Amino acid sequence: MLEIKNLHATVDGKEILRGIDLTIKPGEVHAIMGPNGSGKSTLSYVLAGRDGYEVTEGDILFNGQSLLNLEPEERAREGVFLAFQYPVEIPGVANATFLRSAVNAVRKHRGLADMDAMTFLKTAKAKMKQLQMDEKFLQRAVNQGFSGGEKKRNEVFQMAMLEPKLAILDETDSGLDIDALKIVAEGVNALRSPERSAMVITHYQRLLDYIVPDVVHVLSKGRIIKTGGKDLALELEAKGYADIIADAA
Amino acid sequence: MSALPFTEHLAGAYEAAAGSLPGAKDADVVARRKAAIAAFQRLGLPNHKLESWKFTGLNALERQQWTLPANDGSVDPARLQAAALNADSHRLVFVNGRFDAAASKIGSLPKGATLLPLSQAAGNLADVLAAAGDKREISLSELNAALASDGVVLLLEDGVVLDKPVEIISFGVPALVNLRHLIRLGAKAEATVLESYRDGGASEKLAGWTNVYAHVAVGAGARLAHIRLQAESDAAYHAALGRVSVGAGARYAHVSVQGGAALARHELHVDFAGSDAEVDVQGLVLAHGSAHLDHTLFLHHAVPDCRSNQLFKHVVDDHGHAVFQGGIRVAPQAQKTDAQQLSRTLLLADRAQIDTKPELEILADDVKCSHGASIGDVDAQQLFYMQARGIPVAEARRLLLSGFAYEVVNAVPEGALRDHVEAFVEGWLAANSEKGGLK
Amino acid sequence: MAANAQTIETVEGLAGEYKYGFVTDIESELLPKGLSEDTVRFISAKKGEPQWMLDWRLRAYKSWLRMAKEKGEPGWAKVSYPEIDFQDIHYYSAPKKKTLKSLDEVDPELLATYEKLGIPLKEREILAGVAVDAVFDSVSVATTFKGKLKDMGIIFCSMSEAVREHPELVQKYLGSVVPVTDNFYATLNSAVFSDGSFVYIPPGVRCPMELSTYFRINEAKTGQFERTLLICDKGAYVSYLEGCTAPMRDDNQLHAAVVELVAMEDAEIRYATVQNWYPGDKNGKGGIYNFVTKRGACRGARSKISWTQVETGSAITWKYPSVILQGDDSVGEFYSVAVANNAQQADTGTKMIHMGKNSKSTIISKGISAGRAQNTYRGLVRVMPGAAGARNYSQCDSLLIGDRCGGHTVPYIEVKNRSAKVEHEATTSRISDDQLFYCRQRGLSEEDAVSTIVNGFCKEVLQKLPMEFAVEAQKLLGVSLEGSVG
Repeated sequence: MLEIKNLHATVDGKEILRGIDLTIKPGEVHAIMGPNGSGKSTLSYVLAGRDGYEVTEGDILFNGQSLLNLEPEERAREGVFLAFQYPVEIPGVANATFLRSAVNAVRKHRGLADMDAMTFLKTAKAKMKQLQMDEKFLQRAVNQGFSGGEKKRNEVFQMAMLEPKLAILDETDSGLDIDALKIVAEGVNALRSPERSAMVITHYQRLLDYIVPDVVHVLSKGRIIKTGGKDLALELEAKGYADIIADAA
Repeated sequence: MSALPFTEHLAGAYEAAAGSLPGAKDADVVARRKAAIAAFQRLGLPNHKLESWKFTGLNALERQQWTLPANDGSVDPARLQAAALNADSHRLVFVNGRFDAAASKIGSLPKGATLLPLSQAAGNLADVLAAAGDKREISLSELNAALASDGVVLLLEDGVVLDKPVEIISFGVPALVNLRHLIRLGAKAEATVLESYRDGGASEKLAGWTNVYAHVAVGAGARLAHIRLQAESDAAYHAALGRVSVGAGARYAHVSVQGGAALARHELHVDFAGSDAEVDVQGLVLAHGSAHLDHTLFLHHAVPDCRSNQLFKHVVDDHGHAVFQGGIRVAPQAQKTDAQQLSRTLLLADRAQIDTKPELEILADDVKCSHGASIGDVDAQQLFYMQARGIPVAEARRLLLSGFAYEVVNAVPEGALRDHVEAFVEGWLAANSEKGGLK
Repeated sequence: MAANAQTIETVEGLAGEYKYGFVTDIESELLPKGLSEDTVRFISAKKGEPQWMLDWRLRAYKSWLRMAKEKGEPGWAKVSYPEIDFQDIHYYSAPKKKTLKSLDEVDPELLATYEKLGIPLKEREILAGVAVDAVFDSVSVATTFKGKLKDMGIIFCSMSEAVREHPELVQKYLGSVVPVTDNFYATLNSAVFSDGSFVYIPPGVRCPMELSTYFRINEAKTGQFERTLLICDKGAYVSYLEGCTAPMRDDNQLHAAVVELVAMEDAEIRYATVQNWYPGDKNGKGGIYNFVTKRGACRGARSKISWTQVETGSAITWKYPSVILQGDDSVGEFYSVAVANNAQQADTGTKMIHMGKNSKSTIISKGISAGRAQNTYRGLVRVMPGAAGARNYSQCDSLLIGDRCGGHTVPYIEVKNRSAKVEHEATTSRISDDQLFYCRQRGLSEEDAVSTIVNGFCKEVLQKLPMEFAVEAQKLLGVSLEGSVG
């Protein structure tokens, strides 16, 4: 599904990612853990193709095709979804309008007909119910005036609607209380299937109790310094990053 | 008295006084003064046809046959004490538009610092009298260049820090007084300047006209706190133009209080000359009687990455008329500019009025600019809340007004300086409240 | 063959940018260029006007001559253009077939034009509930639904017809809101106006359908000077829509209209405009000079006038739909979206003059600048001494797309009453990279992302438009901003 090969990337001329190799197979969930400043968010932005994040070496293959020359919207339409750490507010644009445009842009790319308004509303309401979101959120402007937890739930809701092949969750757990965390995790788990993969970026092990990863990577200073099973996350929690980084060095 | 047209009358006053003005023996200075009076004659007083003078007319000035003040004068010690800062300062006092050495005290200055009255600054005179620009709007500052009888020259070389504030006090007299200041701070220099314009007490009824021009240059990384307290008699006319250039990484903080004049206009032009500079301009206007008090600002963001903030508050009572024009221009190259402006007004009487024109001219896209204006009476709910706690209504109003003014007072550097400004504001509020105003 | 295909492509490409840019080939009657007293007399005679109307026009013409000599065109707006040669303009142009009794008599070419514009002139309009008065160049072509409206006592006809059939109303109200000598362009309009719409809603009548005018300039080098007069008597209500298009031509064309609204006691007028005159090409060649005076008077207590405008076209827009709030408790509203792209210049806003007690006004202005365009909001809120309890809220937001355009805000606020409450807020921002990236990450193209964000920015105004217009306006916003990013 996703093959990252010797990925180097710079932001403002400063090298943040310094040779990342990572392969995610269909159906797998990988967790990326690491201390602040290790390059976790940069990795997510590079995968999504944000301006200003320059790949200087290496490649990203998504189902065999390089993503590097694709615009952000082309990557999105191919099935790469990024749940933002800080979801952006768009005043005046109703969540429903926004999401329907997105859903239909993705559907068009997949050769499907536009989703009509009724079907869209029905589907959206069903998914919102799963995420215990109030239907009123559909009519509110995108993320505007949402609490931190509401924004994160809205990200997962959008993901559920867009049905991506690869979901990248960038610190989706931050700002969530334990109940909200469970709901969000359930939302993510509901999407798990043999065809879909996910990359869960998190600072804490807590989220991984609910979204159980197949593989855990530890990122430090732009490199993956250790890879293991889900137990690695527990080890990290117990020992802290400093020890693991020291061990690996 | 002759019935000459206004400009010619003043040109005549210049001819008569020319020999006794500073630099009268310096040919360059005399040439400059002559050119200035000619420019004034050509331009005449600014009028409504100029967009920036839309709300303020100077017809009242034209009705009077102005004289220049007599040479000597002294100030009543009690009056001086009341007007002076209650702290150690470098104090320069001007009476009749002339430096009063007896009332002044310039303390010891660090190396690289020059602080003089203009009348003693022979070497810098031509510099000080340089024109404020070439637009039609400069007629008053050209008049000032021709007639300037004194003022303050403050020059700080790079890195020089003045630890005591510079205090300029001018006592208004029933004549036309022209003061001209030059304040120039080198890189990383620091200073605090208080300009005070006070009632000279000659007569409550006779009007004086104080015409001030200040040229301020704040060097790279320098810091200047510049406070202006305009508190002459209620019959006074006051016109001031300030031109400020702010260097890279510098900080210029200006507070202007207008609290005593029949007609006062303070026009301030700030040019950003280097990036990463910060300018904070705040004003408090206290208008009663038939005072017409005008603040007109132009902040020109010509370079990237600068921040500016403007906050102006107006308390207008009786027949008072406040004018606030706040212009912000962001040039095409001035990306990442952050320019904020807010004007708030309380109208306290049926005949009180405000004209405000906050203007944004924005030619760069990556900017954060906003302005807001609000006009109304004291908040009825707040008033009721205080009354419900047993505070008499007059007292409650005064407290609310004092709270309204406080935000601007608070922008004055802490300590003696802020106490000084606060005392003036509180005094004004108390006096007006006592005589039954501010309702 | 290849050249041919290329030509077609070019034409199609252009049409995508300004799809109303076609020219209709109709025989028309064209008065030779130039302006003189004879021009005024000719227009008046052509319309069979009574003497009082001619006298009125001639007075206006004399005033205009004096204004032209003394001051010339107003220079205070933030727009620049070469001086207009008022002798190089046709002041009258009319399709040749005239005096139409029914739609069937309208030139089929003309009907085809309106169809291209998407105006429902025939049966469809019954469904839509829109009665249309279509002004083609200078003459009102057909007013539909007249019969039905007539039964209710509503007069909806061309200005020319009103002058002939309802002189007492025209004499009473024409020039009563925008005086003959109000300003340079209004005075010119008063002298040479060729046609326009007239509406009178009698007391207590709620106009059952949206009334609508569609303006189109077809002839080259033609000035269009419509005059619209709309009177809403006591307790009456009307909603009026106005749309404008013009063909693409290399030279600039002048459009100097005057619209006067009068609302009596308890009356309400909603006036919406979607202005999409040809804006000129990317380099600023051609396009309409849209110099328009629109003003409403809330004469009676509790009367209400609401202006909504979506201004996407014209090379230059100079327009300040205003409300004079004379009646106690009267209400004035101004909702505006102004888009300026490429070399367009817009200087637009409103005046709210509060005279009546407890009069209220709301101003919501959204200015969008892109390309090298300059977009200025210029507004006046004036509270007169007698307007106790007056309220105004203004919000003016500018959105800049690209670093070569300008967005300016010049509000004048003059308050002479202590019990008034006036609040003004203005912001300037650009579409943030974060917002664009977020939308694109969800699969929207960059242009769709811009259009989505801009529509969100304008939402408060767009939702004030009647439904059919709102949809058109949204599409227009997207089209107007094409090519503005990247």
